[in-house]
Parts: sequence; C-alpha cells; structure tokens
Amino acid sequence: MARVVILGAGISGHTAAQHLQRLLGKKGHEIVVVSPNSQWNWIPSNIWVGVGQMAKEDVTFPLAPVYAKMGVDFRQAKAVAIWPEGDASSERAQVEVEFTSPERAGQRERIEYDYLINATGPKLNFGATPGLGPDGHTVSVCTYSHAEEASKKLQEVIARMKAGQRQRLVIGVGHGTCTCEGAAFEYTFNVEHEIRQAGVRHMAEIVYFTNENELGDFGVGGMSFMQQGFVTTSQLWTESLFRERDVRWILGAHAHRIEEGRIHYETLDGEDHVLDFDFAMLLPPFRGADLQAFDKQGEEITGDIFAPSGFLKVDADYTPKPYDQWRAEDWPKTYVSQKYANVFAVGIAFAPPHQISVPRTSPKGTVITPAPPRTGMPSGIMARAVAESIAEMIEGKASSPEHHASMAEMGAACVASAGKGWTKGTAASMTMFPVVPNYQKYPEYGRSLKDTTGELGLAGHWMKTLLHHMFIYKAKGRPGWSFIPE
Amino acid sequence: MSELSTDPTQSGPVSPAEVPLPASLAPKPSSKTLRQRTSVPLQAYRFAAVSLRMMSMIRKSHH
Repeated sequence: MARVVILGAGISGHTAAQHLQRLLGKKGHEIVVVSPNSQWNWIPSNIWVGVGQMAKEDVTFPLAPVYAKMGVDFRQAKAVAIWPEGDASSERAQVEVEFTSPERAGQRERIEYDYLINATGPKLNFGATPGLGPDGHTVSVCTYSHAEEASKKLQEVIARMKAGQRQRLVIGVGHGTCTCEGAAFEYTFNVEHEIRQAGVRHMAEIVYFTNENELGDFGVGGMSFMQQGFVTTSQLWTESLFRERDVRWILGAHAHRIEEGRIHYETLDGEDHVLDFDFAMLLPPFRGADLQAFDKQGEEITGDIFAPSGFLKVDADYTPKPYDQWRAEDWPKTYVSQKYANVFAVGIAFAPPHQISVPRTSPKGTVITPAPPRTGMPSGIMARAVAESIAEMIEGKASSPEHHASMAEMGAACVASAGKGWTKGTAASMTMFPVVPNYQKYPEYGRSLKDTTGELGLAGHWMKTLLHHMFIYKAKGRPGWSFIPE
Repeated sequence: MSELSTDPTQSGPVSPAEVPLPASLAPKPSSKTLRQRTSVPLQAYRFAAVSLRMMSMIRKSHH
C-alpha cells in the first residue's frame, strides 16, 4: 500500500488531498496532509474580512474534522526538510516535520512517503522590505488574521475622517517583485466602496501603489479582449475604473523601506520618492517555504531541488533567456521534480520558469516586475492533475505522470470585487485563455479573444459570492463536491 | 495627513501634498452605463451569460 504526503492544505494542497482520497482512499492507500495551520481559509474572501464585511469564521473552517471524516491523516505541523533518497537508516524517502499544534508544538517527526506533493504555498516575505507588514508599519490581507487587523485600522481611519481629518490611504504591493496585484486591486476598490458608504469619500485620497508598468497588467502582462466590436486592453479598462472612482495610481514602484507613515520608493525611471500615508495595505513578495533537502549521506542538496527563491524546480525550462525568446512550452505540464520522479509541486510552491509580464529593471538595477500569479483556479487544476497522475502510477496504470495542466494551456476565471452589496456591489469578471500567452497559437494577442473577456457590474459581485459559498462547500467535502470544477 | 509631507526644510524627495491623477485616455463611463452596472434585471441576465462563459472556459482548461 502506498503513502502520499501532501505538504500544505491551501487551495492546491487541499484539492490534491480530496482527489487522492476520492481515487485511492477506499483502496487501502494512505493520504497524509501536513499543514501548520489548523484552519482552511478561502483566501479570495479575505479582502472582505479586511473591510469588515465578513468575519474570520465566514472564510475559515477547522481542517481536522473534515480530514477525519474523509479518512485523511492530518498532522498540524510544518515541513522543515526532505530526504528524497531516504537516510542512513532507511531506504524510504522521508519528510521531517515540526508540529505546530498546541499539544505537540516543537516536536519533530519523520514521515516516510512514496509520493510527495509540495503545496506549501508562499512564505510571506515581509522582511524583503524593511518596515513592511503587520510587524512594521503597514497592514496586509494575506491571512485572515492580517485581514482582521487591516479592518480595525481601516475603521480607525474612517473615524478620523468623520472627525474632519483628511486621510491618505495607500494600497498595493510592498516590493518590486510582488505578485497578486489582483488582490491589491480588489482591496483598493472595496476600501473605496466602504469609505463612500460611510459618507466620507471626500475626505480620502486613495492611492494604488504598484510594481506594474501599467494598470491592468495583473502580473499576466495585461489582456486584450473584445468590447462592443473593438479590441480593447485591460489597461484602458482598468484606468477607466480608476478615473471613475477617483483613485490615483503610482506605477512601476519598488518600496525600499517603510517608516511610520512614510514609504521610500524607487520608480522604473530610477528616481527616488517618498510618499506619506495614514493607512497602508501593501502585499509582501512571496518566496518558497524554505524547505531543506538532503541526500542519503546527509549532504545538503537543497540547491539541486529548489530554485534560489525557495520554490521547487519542476518540469519547466529554466534556461535563462531574453523575453522575446520566452515560449509557452517553457511552462511545466506535469509538475514533477526535475530530480525525483515521486516529488511534485503545485500552486505557488512550484518555481515558474520566468515572469509573464515584460521584465523591467530601473537604471539602478532594481528589478520592478510582477511575479507570475499561480493561485486560485490554476492551482486547483494543477493539483487535480497531479493527484490523478499519482493515483494512476500507484495503481500501475501509468509509469510516469500523464495528466497535464500547463498554465500555457489552461484558462483562468478571476472575479475581482470592487465593492460588496447585493444591489450596490460590483466586481470585475475576467476570464483569460490561456493564462500564459501563447504567441505561437495566438500570434496577434497571445490569447484567445473569444475566451479572454472582462466586464464590470453587479453580476460579478453575485458571482464572487456564489464562488465563496461553492468553494467552501466543496472544501468541506459535502455531497457532490467533486462535481464542482476547480 | 502626516506633517512630513509639507516640511520645506527636508532634503531629498518630498512627498506630494496630493498625488496627481495620472493622465489617461481611458473613457469614463456615462451615468447610463453606471446605472446598467447595478440594474438588477440586466445584471441577472449578465450573471447567466458570464456563468456560461466561465463554464466554457473551465471545460477547456481541464485536460
């Protein structure tokens, strides 16, 4: 009987666990999930926690009872090292974990595996910019607890505006290499919506602070789509919303350091600037979970398996090459490690071969380019593909991973909230196909104009609300969960 | 707003009193367009259309 160990219980790790249990659970195989968090979190709704429109309990649920019901072995722990070749005392591959549950906090354990899925998600690298983050001078919505704190600070700002003090709110990213600009966009317009609802919009200056070279880039190099008979761009479309809501923007920015109420930053032209703020929600850059790896003799081989960013190298083409030579086929298909055929990485944990947006560097050599997003729908699809591949290999139906989920061959649906409310809410409903532009297949725009779309409206808000409830239902493994697509 | 933004004695870059609205050729929506974006009957129709579009795209993305 085989054992599959999954590191992480976010969207990708949990999806992999559900499908592996569905495919293998009744056949005597063992699925083990290792996650330092006791709660599952529907992260896309954290922005609503961050404006006080949802509580923590609305976006989370405890993992242990769900896994107990599913028959999955759950260990509340964080992975610290892997031994893909085993060690001196055992031939079997192992992962070392350190427990984070209150009753076993700090204890370490080795878990042997036949297959390993690294779905650890990101390490929130607030340390990349001095002063960034909840331990510094800004807030975040990356976790539900961060979002709760952001909501409290936002209410304080609203109270000051009601008392007659004009306030500047800066929302965006806190480093030149950040990803998840879509989340910053959502939070910007949810904050704007809340302030308007509070009747103090005239007292607020809202500034979107981003590493994107143009609005609407979203880390995917922007999009082109048809609108009323014309091909338009996500840049024009996004700028229109910013103008309509009177949100200012600062582009191509890299924050060097943050002090109380002040951001020191550089722009792509190499100029240095400062920007004062009364409230700042700036997302951190991501890096891998800092897992170490050792060979059978105990020699460290971390650099052979992981990229310097801490993300696991998979079946991608990592050859450094200029932007005009980037190809869709550079992107991984099966997410299997380059070195070990029984190790996979999905979601944010896999190392992308390069950015999707055009890479840019300031005259001072500062890299200011969004990193590629690989969350949400793509992370779920790749997790399912990996689960299906592993199940087939365990059952002897395949000798190598056969399920593909290249981001250059899949689309993504993104519903970005611009304000919550059953009749007054709005959201941008966007689809793109494929996520990574394929100029060999779609020479003019890199993506299918038929399947790359965007529209703003109340329908988008309803859609985001539906997705919120649907995916929490699915994650809980309620009846019929597997019919809900990733 | 922080007092730092108006300190005339400070050397180096100074935070602007107000971040200017960047130049943009993007059209602003008309009041009719804004009403349509929150019109419940119209948006109910758009909800159905967007759902179908997303389902089609999701089908293409699962290999």
